Amino acid sequence: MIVFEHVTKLYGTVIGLNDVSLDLPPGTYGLLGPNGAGKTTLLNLLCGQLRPTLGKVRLWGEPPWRNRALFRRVGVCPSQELLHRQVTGLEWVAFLCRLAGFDASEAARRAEQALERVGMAHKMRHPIGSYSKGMRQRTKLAQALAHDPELLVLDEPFDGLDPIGRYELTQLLKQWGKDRSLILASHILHEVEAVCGSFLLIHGARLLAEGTAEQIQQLLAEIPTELTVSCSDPMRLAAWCCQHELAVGVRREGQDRLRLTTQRPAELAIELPRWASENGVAIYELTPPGDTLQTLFNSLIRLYRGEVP
Amino acid sequence: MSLLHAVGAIVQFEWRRSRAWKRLLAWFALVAFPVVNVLVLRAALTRPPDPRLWIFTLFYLITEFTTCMGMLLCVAPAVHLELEYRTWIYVATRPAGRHALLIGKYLWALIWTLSASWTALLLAVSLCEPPDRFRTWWVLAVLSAFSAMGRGAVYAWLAVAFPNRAMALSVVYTAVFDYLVGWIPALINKFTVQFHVRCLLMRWLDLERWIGRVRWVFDDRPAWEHLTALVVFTAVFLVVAWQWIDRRQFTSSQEG
Repeated sequence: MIVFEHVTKLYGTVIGLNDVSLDLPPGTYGLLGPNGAGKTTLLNLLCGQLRPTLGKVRLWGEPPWRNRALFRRVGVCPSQELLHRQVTGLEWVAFLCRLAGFDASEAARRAEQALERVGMAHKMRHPIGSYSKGMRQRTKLAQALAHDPELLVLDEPFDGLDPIGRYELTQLLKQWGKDRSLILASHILHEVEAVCGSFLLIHGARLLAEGTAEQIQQLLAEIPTELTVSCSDPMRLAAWCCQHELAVGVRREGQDRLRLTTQRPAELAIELPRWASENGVAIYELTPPGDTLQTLFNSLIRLYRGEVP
Repeated sequence: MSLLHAVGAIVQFEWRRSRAWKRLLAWFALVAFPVVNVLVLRAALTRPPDPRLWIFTLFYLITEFTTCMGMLLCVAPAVHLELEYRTWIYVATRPAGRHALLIGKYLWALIWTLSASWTALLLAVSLCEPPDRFRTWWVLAVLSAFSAMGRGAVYAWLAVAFPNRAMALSVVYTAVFDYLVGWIPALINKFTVQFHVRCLLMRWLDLERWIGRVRWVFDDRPAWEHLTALVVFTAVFLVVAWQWIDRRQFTSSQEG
């Protein structure tokens, strides 16, 4: 469905995207990266708003740049804030439906349906200026859904939503993702984890990794993991770890704390309590690495930067 | 068909937005400016002037100033406002969005400006004494339409090509090129809207003989040639703007 072949995008001398290659079948994808990583550039290339400086972008086999037939099949919810304050949500969504090619009555019907779908039925006839941030986000989502696209492109859709709003939007997107495709850009990992089955990790205009959480875990299997151990005799623990090659790096942090870098975390977790009880060393605290995407992301960045041994 | 729907949507949406008090105030100011000027002139004159002088007064106050100002206010910021209000991406990702935005805003600007120009003309003509009120009104009304179309097309191109500086460049174009160059008696003045509109005014209101001494700033060619020149001028700039908006990449920083 989405193919990027060595795509580079330059804004003058500033690099927006650097040699990115992708081949994504239909599905739900989370595009993860910190602010300024190149997420919006990637989405704009995908939506046909930017032309790649180098390389090729294909969406359903066609280049999206200036391809109006493809625009009809894509629903875009940008991160930009809504600033048409005097018009109502219904008027605005119906207006955008008409720009998608529907006549006035059909556009109004679709706009109403979409706004109901995102839970804005009660406020759709009020001016946008009176909406809360969460309501504006839902209205933005409604305009992306209203023309019934095959692919939904969402840039920071959870921004500004309260916990209930986040939950409702997550449910809506999960439902959507059952039979349609979506690509969701965010810098908040747990939001993406809840909706998407696969991930694209982007940083510094480069794609660091892609795949399911498990595939990325597998990719990271060779990357050393950091554990923090607090115990009664850190020097003996350090000597034992090095002697048995359970750690490739040991760093003392404070009086009773060690940071161990290991490529065998599971083995270490089994051996450590045994050794501690046999040698009378008290383990006060063992902090394992988290298993969230944040950990994966941090590790990938470390790998990419060459910070791992 | 979808382009027609989309253009209709833009015009309707602009109509909806034009009911905001700021825009209503701008419309009334455009109408009031020439009318107040005519009233002041009437009050200042000690004896009635040559009635034909009223034609020039109305021509410069309404056909030139009001029309230029109206189109400038509506067309020049057409793209810049979408970028500033961060609504560009919503429009640009629609199949006919970019072209509909250009044509819809241009059409809406014509409606908005000409409604102000024609209303001002109606009031101003009734307050002064041109030779033939009805003829003066319709000739100036038609010339206002051509003036708005021609200049609006240039502003539309500037709006697309230089969105962040379109307003300033449009003012410079109007003041320096259209007004200054329009008065140079050389080939170059044939490329200005003002020259052709001025020639049509002379031809249609029989002012050529009266103005005899400064004939070098007019042209003897028939009216249809001036009309063709204005239509071609308008079409060329609209086509260029059409192509430009289709190929233009607006980056996030411009949207911000």
